Amino acid sequence: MMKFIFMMLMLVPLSCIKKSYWFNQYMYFFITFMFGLSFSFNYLYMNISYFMGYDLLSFMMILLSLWICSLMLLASESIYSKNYFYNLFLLVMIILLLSLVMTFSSLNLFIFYLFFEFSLIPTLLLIIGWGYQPERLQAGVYLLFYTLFASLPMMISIFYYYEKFHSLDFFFLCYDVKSFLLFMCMNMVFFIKMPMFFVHLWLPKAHVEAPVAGSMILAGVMLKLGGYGLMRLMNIFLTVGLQVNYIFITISMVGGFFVSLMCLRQVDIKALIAYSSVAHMGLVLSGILTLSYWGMSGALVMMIAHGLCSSGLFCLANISYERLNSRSIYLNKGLINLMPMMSMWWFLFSCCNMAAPPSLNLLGEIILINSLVSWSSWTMVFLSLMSFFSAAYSLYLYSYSQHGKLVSNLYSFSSGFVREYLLLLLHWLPLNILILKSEFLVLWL
Amino acid sequence: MYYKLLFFNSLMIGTLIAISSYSWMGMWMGLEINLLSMIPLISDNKNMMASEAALKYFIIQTMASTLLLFSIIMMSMKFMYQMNLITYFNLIFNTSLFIKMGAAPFHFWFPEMMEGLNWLNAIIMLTWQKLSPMVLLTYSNTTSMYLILTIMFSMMISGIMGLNQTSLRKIMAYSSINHIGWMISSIMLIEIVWFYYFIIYCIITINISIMFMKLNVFHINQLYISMNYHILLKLFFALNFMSLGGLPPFLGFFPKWLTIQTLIQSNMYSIAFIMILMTLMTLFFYLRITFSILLLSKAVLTFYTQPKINTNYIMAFNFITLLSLIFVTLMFNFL
Repeated sequence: MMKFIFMMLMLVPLSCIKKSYWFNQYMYFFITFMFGLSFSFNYLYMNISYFMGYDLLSFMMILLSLWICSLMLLASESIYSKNYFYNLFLLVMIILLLSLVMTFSSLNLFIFYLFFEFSLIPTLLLIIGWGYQPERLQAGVYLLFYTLFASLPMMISIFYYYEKFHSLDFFFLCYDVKSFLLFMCMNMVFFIKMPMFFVHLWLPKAHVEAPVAGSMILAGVMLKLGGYGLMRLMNIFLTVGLQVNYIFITISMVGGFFVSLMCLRQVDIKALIAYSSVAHMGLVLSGILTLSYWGMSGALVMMIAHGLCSSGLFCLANISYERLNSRSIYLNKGLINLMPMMSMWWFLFSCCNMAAPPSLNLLGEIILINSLVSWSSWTMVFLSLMSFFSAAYSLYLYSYSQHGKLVSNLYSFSSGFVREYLLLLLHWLPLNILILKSEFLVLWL
Repeated sequence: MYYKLLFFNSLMIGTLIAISSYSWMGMWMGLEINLLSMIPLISDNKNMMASEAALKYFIIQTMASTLLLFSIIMMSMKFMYQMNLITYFNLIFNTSLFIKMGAAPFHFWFPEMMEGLNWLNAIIMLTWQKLSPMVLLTYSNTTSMYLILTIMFSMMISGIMGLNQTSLRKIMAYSSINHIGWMISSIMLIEIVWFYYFIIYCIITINISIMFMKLNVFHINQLYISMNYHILLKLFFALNFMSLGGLPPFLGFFPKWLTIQTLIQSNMYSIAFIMILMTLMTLFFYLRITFSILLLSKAVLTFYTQPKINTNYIMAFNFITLLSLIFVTLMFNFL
């Protein structure tokens, strides 16, 4: 594990060199491939050194963070070409990547908490530093304080748990805690991070204000921190979980439906994608809270799928934003006339977002539906509504942005670059190829 | 101005006498020496605000010293033991120390006075002048209900009053009141935790205040034009505020971590909860100071020349205040 940490640490001086943007990007891919070679096959921890190591769940999450971070550099080429503090951007990126990898690979709850908080600060810097409107200050404050408000009680409860059970190692995290208060204090931060309906308000704000890299990391990895933490911590809340989880499952299912309805009347493409990720992560959250094998495996599959898919959609939104300088769905229309090949990518990603075969979203959704229906057959109502409306808003996004008349205020326009097609391909390929070897994704328990 | 050198030395000596004397009278004497040498340090015959601050400081501290002297004399009387009055005079004793350090219900003089100081004096007020009252508080009988009340007042008042301040010195004063709350809670339980907290608080505060001094800024809006330095320097300066607010990867998290853990070990959950949530409010106004930096874009004025500052040693200092959470556990070997 240490070798990957050191590889990333040595990228810190590299990121301060002028005109080293693409070399950095190349090194990110190199780390990703190096890491991919040390595949972890099941629930047993591998490569344990110091306080780090990974099982299959952590491995997939780390791989996802490495992959999304490499693609973030590929996507934010405009920062480099416009020379807008790109060295600082590289620095923030590598610190963010480092914090995420440390979060997912830590074997101790407190170390996990420490790096979980750490990852907030580079995200905040990304949003406030490279965002677009002045409202990004508000969005950054929302992001920081929503999370901190819940995560500091979590720190108290971590210390409480340590006082009672004398270990915070994930391996020994198996004592059943029968306290609803502790359940709330520990898990609220993950509910906020997921985000669960009712505490999701920071997410659309942050997405709307963030630059493309910030949106990609938020949708791609930061939301998964919540799911990852819940999957690790549900072990100690089995008794109380059986009693209270129905509340949060209900909130997520009904909320997912409401959010899908809200997607249908968004005019901001990025806000639409952000709300759709609230709906999808609600599904993941309910899957985890069923405390079943299917739910846990499905949550992992769905998180990988959603990370790649919504990150790809944010890339697409940014590609048309860079050309039209607007994210409004009333201005981003008729794009099939200008970028027919990009229209194919819009279609493919919209299909993935509505869980069409052969995407990983489909597999995740099937597994999660299995877990939820076996948990209670009443969830079928909202599951079917969510599935239907996810298809509806994905088609809404696709057809409104691609069909119709072109907006008339276009002055100059370039069609897609090879970099952008590569970026989208690298999102789409793992999303649709991984299903061929999907048994590995459901073996982590 | 060479007399300031003399008074600075006697300021140090006063504190050292106060914290190392073994009789209450010697302690009082040390505090008086400390107080009387602070006044010439503050006063400046070209600045009326400084003289006003010196006067305020003198009046308040003298009142506190009088209370202190009163309580220690009364506590040494023989009838005190017979009539079981010593706890009441202990309250007076603690109160006088709270006035001296500026803890919350007795804090009103502190931000007002800070407004009249230059940054060097502000550094002394924020750090060194806290030392003797706090050490003396550890010697006193820490009756916990009164201390808890003071902690809660410090947390709430600093969080709320700091919100609509634009003066950086007042913000630093309210931040100091917040940290006083934390430090009192660690004094209440384990003194060595207070020691870590005080050292780390001083390091971060000195670093921030020195940067303010070099930039010669006193209000938030001035930060927008005086932050045109090297981008990393700006960023590290902003991160220092997050360190002061106690966000995890930075050094400032370490003392908060220790304090919370000792609080939880002593089963004081609700006060830990309140302290943490109130500290979020101070974090908010720290974050507001850093907005001008985090926004990255900068205003360049034509007829404004930047003061020259030596970035190397500030960067080295920043390295300590930001990254040393990894190394700070080595402190356990030496203290």
